[in-house]
Amino acid sequence: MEDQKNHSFISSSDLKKFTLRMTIFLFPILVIYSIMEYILNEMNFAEAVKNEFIQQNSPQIKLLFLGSSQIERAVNPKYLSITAVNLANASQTLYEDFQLLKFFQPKLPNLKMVVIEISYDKLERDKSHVLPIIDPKNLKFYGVNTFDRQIKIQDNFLFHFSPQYFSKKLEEEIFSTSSIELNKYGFDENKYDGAYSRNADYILIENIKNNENYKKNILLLDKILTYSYKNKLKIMVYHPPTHKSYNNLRDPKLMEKWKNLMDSLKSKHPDIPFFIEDTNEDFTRKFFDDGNHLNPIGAEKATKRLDSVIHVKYPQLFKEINGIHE
Amino acid sequence: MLFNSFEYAVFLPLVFGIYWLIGSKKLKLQNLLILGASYTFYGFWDWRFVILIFLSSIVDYYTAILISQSSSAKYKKLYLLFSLVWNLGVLFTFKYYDFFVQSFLQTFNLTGANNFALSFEIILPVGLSFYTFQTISYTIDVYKNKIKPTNHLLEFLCYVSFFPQLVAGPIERTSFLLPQFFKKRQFSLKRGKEGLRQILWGLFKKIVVADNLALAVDTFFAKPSDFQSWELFYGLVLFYFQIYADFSGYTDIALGSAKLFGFKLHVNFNLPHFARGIPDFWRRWNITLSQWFRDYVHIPFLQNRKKTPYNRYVALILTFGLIGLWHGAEWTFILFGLIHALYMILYQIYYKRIGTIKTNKLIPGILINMGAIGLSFTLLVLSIVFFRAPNYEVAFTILERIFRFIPDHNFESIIKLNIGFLFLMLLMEIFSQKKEYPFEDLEKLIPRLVRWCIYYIFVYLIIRYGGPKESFIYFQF
Repeated sequence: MEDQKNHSFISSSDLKKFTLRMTIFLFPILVIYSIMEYILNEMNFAEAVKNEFIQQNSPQIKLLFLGSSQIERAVNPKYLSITAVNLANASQTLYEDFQLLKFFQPKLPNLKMVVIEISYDKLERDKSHVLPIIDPKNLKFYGVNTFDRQIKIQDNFLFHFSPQYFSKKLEEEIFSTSSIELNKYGFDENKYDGAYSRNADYILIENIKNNENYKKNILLLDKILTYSYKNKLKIMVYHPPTHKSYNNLRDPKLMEKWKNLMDSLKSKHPDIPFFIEDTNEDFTRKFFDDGNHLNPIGAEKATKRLDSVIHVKYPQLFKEINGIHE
Repeated sequence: MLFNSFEYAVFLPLVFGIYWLIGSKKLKLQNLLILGASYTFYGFWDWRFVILIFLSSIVDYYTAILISQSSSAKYKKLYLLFSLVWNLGVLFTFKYYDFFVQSFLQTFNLTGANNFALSFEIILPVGLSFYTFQTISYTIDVYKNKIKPTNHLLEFLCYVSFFPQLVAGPIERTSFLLPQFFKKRQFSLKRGKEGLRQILWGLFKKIVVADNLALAVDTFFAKPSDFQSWELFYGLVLFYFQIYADFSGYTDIALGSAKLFGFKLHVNFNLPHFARGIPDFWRRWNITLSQWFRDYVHIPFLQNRKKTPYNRYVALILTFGLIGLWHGAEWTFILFGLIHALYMILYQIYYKRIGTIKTNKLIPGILINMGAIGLSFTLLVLSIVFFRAPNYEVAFTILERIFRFIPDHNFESIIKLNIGFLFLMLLMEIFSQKKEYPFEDLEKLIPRLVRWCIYYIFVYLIIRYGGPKESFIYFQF
């Protein structure tokens, strides 16, 4: 009996010691983690700047860009004569695009047109191709749930989604080594860190083929179009320029599939303007950051071209966007 | 719920706190909590599968009692057969049905539209093979009178579903784990610390080593035709260490978690990359699984047969073919198992010659050992191509490219891929060979301040250098 008492005494005092030491051990970790999250929250991520721009200019915004990094890096709204916001983001698929559209459309009373990207293998992709930082950033900075599931508590903390990426960002913030120069539209005007800027020929092309994803994305595209029509939004399909060395690596079968899709969309939706610039040879190597992303100089040229196309090629559309009625 | 998830980081301390608040005097209540926690843990994947694990447990619990109570050998056999049909039936339905149907249709060229009705695309319950093997061994052991059946349903349910080892082992025998649910469990500071240290080590292996290696391995396997002979071989070496760090990391977290609740589980790995021969490898890799197949397939097969070389080889082919199939319903896994059967047969044939080399005093022992380790590792690495490749065509393409010895002048650029952490892990494990894991009994070696600094460094490595969050590879088995 005495032995048993002794045991329970040891057990209980051991448990107290254990709990105390664990608390002491974990305390600095939790403090440091909280500080990291706080800094990340306060940092000028492109999404934070874009959100601020939307908050301040919501009545003036008439044009919304959605898509992946190709549009993100090709459209600098500074060079557009129409107030626009570019919510395209690296690896973003149609699913995230649609969620952003549904969220922001009611908040932008004068939104007239949405520019979407249907590039090469975009419709072959699904959630598994989206970078892990995209959904948490969409939630944190825009308040949009693009996770395709219910929100969990941990979704509100950024760091754990990609320790490598956010550690790098924190180090850049703490040691002021960031080369990013975001303008008021959240566009990085100093992004020259791709392979071409290092004179390397490295081209990342995945040539993703997935028929199931393709079918789902076709349905999703249809939903986006229906939603836009319902809300009296014009749609434009834009494919930014891609370098010929990238184009040469594209899978011929996928290209054929993509071209067939473009043709079928054009015949089905004659009112939708298509501005497909992938093979525009005016865009030489100096305009690219890598094979399929423009650098800021290329973005300036591409955005100005896009602006003039809207003005010249679609005068009626331009008038509609600006609210000029004949 | 993954061990490397936020959910588990909340779940474990919560269950731990309630468990020790209940205290060892209320053993039943503690066990009830373990059962509830285990089902919650499992239910995080899919609640429907909790019903399946419960049913499987109930079937084996009552079948074992019936076997023990029955005086007729015929009925005993019948009950055993029922249990086997149930367990293997569940395994077959969820894991192998589609594979066999597809293989059948392809073999007889029946892949027409009408035959798709035969295929169901059933979701595989996570960890099914692990807990099914535990329940099978229980019934067989009762049938063979090795153990007595338990009359305590709660404890038996806990044994089958104990969350630290539920989804990826170690596969524990009833005689080892079940009695632990009947003993009073006192919290000890030493065990608590050991548990946490082992979890820390396991997280490092999984999150830092395995998940970073996964990035490199995925690059190699995404387009093998882009890589030359040495690069592909190097990719396979990295894949070996990825699955090792992934699975042994999981096991460390499992063992550590169990220690926090006063339980002991079996060590499942013992530096398998330093095995001196393929038989030695299987004594060091997924030890509890190898032992299971040895005790319930290999030995019973040979027991009633003459010990001729032919029978021994057939037993090896059967055992390793099944080990391959256990890993997954794919021809690649079966091929992996059969290759290991071939290795084992060759080892048995040449065993005497190997023995002669060993006793040859002209060659230093260390060289013989290093040669044996090198040869085993090379054979092993070549075989695991079937473990990772999506189909056997890709596997053979990789092997063909390796054996064409295509020169590559840029190999140095490939070798830089995230292997620093791998060396850290290997060095620590080599220098702590006799321990269960490198941090074991650390207080005997270094003062607390230094110890805490080491822990903080590892926490930093996990937080800062964790690779993209990947599920555990062995969960799919």
